[in-house]
Amino acid sequence: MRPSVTLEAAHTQRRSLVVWSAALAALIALYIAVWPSVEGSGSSFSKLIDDMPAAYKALFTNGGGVDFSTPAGYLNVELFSFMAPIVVLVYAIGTGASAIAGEEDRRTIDLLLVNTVSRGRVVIEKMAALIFGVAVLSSAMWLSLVIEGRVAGMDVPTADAAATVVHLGLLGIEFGALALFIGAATGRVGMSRAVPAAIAAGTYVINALGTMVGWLEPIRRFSPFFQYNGHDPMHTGLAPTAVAVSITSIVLLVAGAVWMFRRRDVGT
Amino acid sequence: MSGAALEFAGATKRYGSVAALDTCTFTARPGRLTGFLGPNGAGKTTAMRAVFGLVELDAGTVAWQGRPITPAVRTRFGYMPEERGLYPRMRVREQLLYLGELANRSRSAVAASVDTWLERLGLTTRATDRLDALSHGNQQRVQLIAALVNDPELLVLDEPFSGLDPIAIANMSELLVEVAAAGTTVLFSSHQLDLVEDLCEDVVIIDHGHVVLAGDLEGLRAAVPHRFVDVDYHGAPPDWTSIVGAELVEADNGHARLQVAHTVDLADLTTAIERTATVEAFSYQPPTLSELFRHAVAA
Repeated sequence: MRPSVTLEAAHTQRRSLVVWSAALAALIALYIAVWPSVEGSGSSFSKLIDDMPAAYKALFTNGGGVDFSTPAGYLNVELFSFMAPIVVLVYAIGTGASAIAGEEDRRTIDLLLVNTVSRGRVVIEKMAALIFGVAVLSSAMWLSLVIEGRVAGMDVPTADAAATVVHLGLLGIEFGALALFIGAATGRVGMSRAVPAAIAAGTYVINALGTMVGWLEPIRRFSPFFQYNGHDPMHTGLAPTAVAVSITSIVLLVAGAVWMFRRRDVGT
Repeated sequence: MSGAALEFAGATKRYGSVAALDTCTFTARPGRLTGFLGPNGAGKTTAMRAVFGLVELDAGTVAWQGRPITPAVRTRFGYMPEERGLYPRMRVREQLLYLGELANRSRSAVAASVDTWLERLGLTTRATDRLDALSHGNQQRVQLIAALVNDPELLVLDEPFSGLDPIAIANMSELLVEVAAAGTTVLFSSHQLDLVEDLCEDVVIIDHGHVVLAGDLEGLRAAVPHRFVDVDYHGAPPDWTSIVGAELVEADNGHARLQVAHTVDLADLTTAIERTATVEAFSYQPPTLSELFRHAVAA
């Protein structure tokens, strides 16, 4: 029975996943703890943000609406517009970059490949480990929202929150797959981190400003952030089209990673 | 070379304008230790990595038992890279089991092999330690076990003696001789030419990606048209330049090393020396591997 590269990768990151999950739980606890003070003055907060310059407001809310009067609206602005994507993207891009390029950088890829594991299998199993890690973080986020919300008496919409973390997970996996693709194509860790991070920043801005800049509107739909929250999952739930677009992007990136990794020298 | 197991034929690999391998052609035979020698940057590591498909050749082939090397064939190979490639934070036995099982062998078979090698190399008590808690020499031993754990038919070792102390070198040498005697084809690179000379039946010398000398070491030494004479004497040294057919290589107090044609008459040579000195010791030998190496690389 051949052991799984996925299981080994997941085993290796088990401690860091616990730390990441704990950090997320603490972050969400902080937001939930603040909610009672926001709840009573939700309309004032909403007005405050509505009075901001349009571009600033768009960046602050990632192009979404502003509603501090409900838990869903509050979490959408405070957690899911900016902080949660940052946390998930940092983890996913780091893991994707480490999957192939990191192994090459640490000179551990040789023994992995010479022990008959095909290059395609290494890429796919590393991707599976990344998906597992993002799924753990997304689950931890949802569980924290539900459990901590219940303890604090905050009425978190569990189904819509689940839909949002699914979209968020897909966003992370997309950028993780991009990092994996660049690592498989180049073997360079720095590039595998920097390029997805830059693209994430760029597509975030495009998605945010696309709501107010006419010529950005058509481009906005290609932004992974549009697939993530363009349809406001905290209020409308899962969007099958957005899920399909995200999954297609991930599959194409992984297929490209396999193709590129098979066609180049390793560790040179 | 008959009975070749590993065969490079015209292997060529370029990185931009640099030829890492240039029509590299040689063989390594089963049951024998083959020393793979060359200056730094000569192409040894590139050639070894080509065996495992880590670099793709621009031209030429690498074959095993006359056939192209496929991933399935590689399950029968063991590799020890120059830049050690184990996971530093993973525990020794756990790591060896993981790598061994990747080659599609049963866990019980791999575990038995791992435990045997750990015991053989004196690492049983360190089996549950993290790799980075081990000394350099012990890490090297673990790396060797990773290459040996699946009982390979071909063992490729890139600088296996690098950084080892004399006792560890002796232990590893003994082990490699034993592995080769069991029928394994062993190809290893090293800059320690005296060690290679002691261990290897075959050598391959590569320079600028091209094989400049290859074959049975004794045969290569015998084929050189000159020999070396070492003389210990007392008394006044003769005028070495007056000895026909001999060229002084080095001389110090009471000792001289001469290069002579293999047809030289040793009796005449001794007589010429004894005109002024008394010979205490006299030896007549083919060139050492170091001399072969210097000659081949300088040519």
